[in-house]
Amino acid sequence: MTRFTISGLVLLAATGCPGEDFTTGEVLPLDDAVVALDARRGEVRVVRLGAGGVVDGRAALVFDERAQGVRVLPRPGRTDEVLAFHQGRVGDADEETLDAELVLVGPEGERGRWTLDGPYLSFAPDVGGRYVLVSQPRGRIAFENRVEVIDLDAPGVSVPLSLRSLGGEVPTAAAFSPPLPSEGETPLRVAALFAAGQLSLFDLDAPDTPPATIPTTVGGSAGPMPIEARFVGREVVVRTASSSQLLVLTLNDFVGEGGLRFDPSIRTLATAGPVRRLSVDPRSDPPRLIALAGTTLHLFDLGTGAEAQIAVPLQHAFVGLFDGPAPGDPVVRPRLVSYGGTAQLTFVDLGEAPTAVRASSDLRLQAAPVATDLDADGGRLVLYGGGTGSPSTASRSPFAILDLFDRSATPLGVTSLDRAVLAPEGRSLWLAGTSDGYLARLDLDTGELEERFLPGGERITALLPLGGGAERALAFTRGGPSALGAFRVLTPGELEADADPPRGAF
Amino acid sequence: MHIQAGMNVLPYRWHMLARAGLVAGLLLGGCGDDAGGFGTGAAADFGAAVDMTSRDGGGPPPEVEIEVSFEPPAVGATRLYATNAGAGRVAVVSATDFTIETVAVGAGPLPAVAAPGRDLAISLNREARSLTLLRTGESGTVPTTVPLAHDADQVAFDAAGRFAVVFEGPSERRRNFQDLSVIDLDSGVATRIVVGFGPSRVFFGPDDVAYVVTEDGISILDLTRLESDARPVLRSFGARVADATVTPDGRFAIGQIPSEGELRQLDLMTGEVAVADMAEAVSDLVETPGGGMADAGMPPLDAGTSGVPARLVEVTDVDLDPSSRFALAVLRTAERAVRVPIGERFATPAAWEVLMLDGEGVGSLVLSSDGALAVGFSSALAVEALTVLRLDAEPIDVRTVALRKTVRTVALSPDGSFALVLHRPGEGNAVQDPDETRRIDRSDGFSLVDLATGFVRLSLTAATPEPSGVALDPAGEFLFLALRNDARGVRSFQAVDVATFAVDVVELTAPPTTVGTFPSLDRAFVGQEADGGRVTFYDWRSGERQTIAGFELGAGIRR
Repeated sequence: MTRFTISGLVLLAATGCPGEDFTTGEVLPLDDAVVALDARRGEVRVVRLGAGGVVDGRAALVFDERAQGVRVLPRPGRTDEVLAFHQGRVGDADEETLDAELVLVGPEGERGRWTLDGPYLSFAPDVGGRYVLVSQPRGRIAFENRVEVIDLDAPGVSVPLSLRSLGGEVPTAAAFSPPLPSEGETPLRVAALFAAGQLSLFDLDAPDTPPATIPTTVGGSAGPMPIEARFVGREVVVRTASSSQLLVLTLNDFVGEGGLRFDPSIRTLATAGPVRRLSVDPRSDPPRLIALAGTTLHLFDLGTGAEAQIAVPLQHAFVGLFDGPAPGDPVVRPRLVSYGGTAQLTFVDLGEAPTAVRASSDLRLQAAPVATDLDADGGRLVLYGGGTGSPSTASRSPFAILDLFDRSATPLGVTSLDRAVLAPEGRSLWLAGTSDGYLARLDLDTGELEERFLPGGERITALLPLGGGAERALAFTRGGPSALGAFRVLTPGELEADADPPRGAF
Repeated sequence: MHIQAGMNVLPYRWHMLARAGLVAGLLLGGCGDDAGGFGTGAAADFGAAVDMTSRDGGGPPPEVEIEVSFEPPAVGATRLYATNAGAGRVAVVSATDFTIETVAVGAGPLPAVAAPGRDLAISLNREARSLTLLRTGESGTVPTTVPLAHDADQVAFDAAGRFAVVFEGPSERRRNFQDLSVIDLDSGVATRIVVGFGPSRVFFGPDDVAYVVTEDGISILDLTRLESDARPVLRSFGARVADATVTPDGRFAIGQIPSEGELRQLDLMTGEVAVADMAEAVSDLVETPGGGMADAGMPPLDAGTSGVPARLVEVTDVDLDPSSRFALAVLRTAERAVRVPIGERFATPAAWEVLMLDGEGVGSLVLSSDGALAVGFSSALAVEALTVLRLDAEPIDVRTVALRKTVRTVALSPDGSFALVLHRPGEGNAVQDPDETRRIDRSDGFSLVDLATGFVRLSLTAATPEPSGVALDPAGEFLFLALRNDARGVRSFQAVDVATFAVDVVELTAPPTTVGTFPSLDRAFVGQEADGGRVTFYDWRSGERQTIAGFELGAGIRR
């Protein structure tokens, strides 16, 4: 069990000076704040942003000087929190072991801290954002096979899971259920731990109870590795690395005394190959399960196992869900678009039933995008050429805006851009040229472009959207007056103002 | 493993020729041949059929008998019994609500065999030398393991579902040549019985009597008075016969000595043997100096001991009338069929009826379930036709129905209204051939023949339709064929509306391994080869499909 402390937070004066030797590495946005990491120093800094993008306050998080492997990650599903983690350190003969720590960071600084039972190599938040799995404890000779699950909604509480029944397999990842109705006093919360050829289901509220372990194959040889699990009500859909079928686990109520509060049963859904992308579409009842495999887009009815298939290009790797009209069909309906890796996109017009397909059609572009941003509410798909990787640092240029409703693409005449990010609200596309200090914003509703060049030969090394609903973005630059780099908050409508956007530093 | 049962036992089983006995078990490991085709034994037999060289190096090749079985062994009344041989388990799948339970059986189980029309199955656990009785009721499946004193790989159920006979059938690995066990399905008691050498088939007659066909003759078991300390009666044909068959009334057994041109009738009550010498049916050909054989282009004939050339009287097929009235023998070289009455006049040539089958090379016949109609064809010669004989007409009506492809095997619907013809493909690439006739010849396919009108529907298929991959609904309204060719990526299921001969194709995600129907549920099913098991149910009224899969994985859950 962890020890919960509120320590290590150093509040700097709101108007205080940033540290001179802070080397900005990873930069993560928050609502009205930005978080930066100096991995070498093991230090995390938070800068709050006020109106007009000026610095409104600061906080710093300093780990023990022996801390290793400091990392920051966004908290999934939350725009106002990030996670900071250090691995701890195995003590030498004359020094104590340093336990790994996880810190929840908000705009005001540290919100919670979990000190774990020893060093851990990795941490991974689940897609729902509530839990974090830490695994692979460090040992002197061999790795111990231990994991802990941190509940971010329970300050200071982590749950070590008993792995004795995993048959010696090392868990590599996990998925977690939302609270499920249960006959017991507390809702059922289930953790699914992935390991080679199997996954194990734990009751998070009874961590000492041996889990139910489900093989991913029959026969003696090891089955494929589970790599993704989606909880849909009391069913768990599991995607594996190499199998041509999805596993569907049903968490039945356990009848009897002792043991787990659930009794899993299993079935499979065959696919045309290993599943590249798995989506759950809640717009139908029961939810529609969507899987991209081979040259087939599968639509499954999770209740009955019934299926519909649509042929798609082998390169497709994404599925976007949206509601809207279509050419010749003004009715707002559930639809989807399958895309990625090729110039051809496939639209599917859906019916009410999970497997009901009204029509499907293909749209061919002049070029294949290497990256995309989907604005489902706005019915837009931004298509990028150029490099891949993190949108904030990858070199990429938008070449077209696709209107998902009328299924037409508007080409963009921009070239030589290196950065492009879509604001979370979907209206502003922020653009930057890294070498010449060029900044621009394209209003996707009006088509208007505002732009400016930063003075003094500053290089833009990162461009990232800010939350908070103001369509803002943040550009981090080097080569300016600040040797350690500076950031600017970009606000719609102010890029072409006379004054340069206010500059700040970590 | 075969189902071995009398023709009176399986009302929807389309019997054609009884030697090959092909069954595709729902073994999860799959049952494709090397090319990934559907079924195994049929492919081997078919290979012999297309070899146009006869065994003695001259003359036409022999007929190849392939049974079309429409009842996969794993189908009970409402349950499908799917065996996972590697795991030693049987998954019991409900075709009603698609629930699944997995039951452990003994080591090395063979595909479970269900009693026709009952939710009861037997798993022969070859490595454990035991069998497991699987009785499924409302509260689930109750397994009962029964030790066996011998090896066994075959199960035969009696029609009433009271008894089963388990034995080891002919195979290259047979170690048990004479022991079998009778299982009382109510009590689970097994009684070991020693029978004649090499049992191959079991027939059930009325009054709870089983007839075991052996190389030595017919062993007769009174199932209600089994005595483990005494040997059952063994009736001998007086010679080694082939394809011995017991008449449904249990009075006679009929065998043949093809090379001698003999049919033998064994009276199972008295042991008396009557011999029907087919030379008597072709005596007119021999007696005619310089007779028509040379004119017919036949090779020189060597005279047998009776003075009649052996090949002229060679019996290429024998079928029994389901009502035990007659046997119908085919003499392909003589281009004749001989209807021989069963009973006292069996050996009386004057009582025989000789039917002329000129010109179409008929070497095999299938009889309808009422014995009123027979369809002749050749599984060995490149003949693109069927010969339809109305045996109840006076005189017998013989007509030829032209086909567009050569014939591999034929099955008749239970009511005799239509015939299913499974074709064989010719050599060469069918897809790229611009000539339609050659393209058809080179393709796989099947034909449906309306026997009343002679209307033929040819359907070309992307894979070879196998006799073990066909099912017919009990009302005879829908026919189902599973198609599989792994090399070509073919994995589909065809539903044929018998009224119109329209064919609907249902693509499958996994290769099919077996197909069957649940008569009481209006559902067909197709088992598929997939890790963890996979079965698709098809409602032939609505066309709705329901697939369940992964049920074998459930047995591996560790709690």
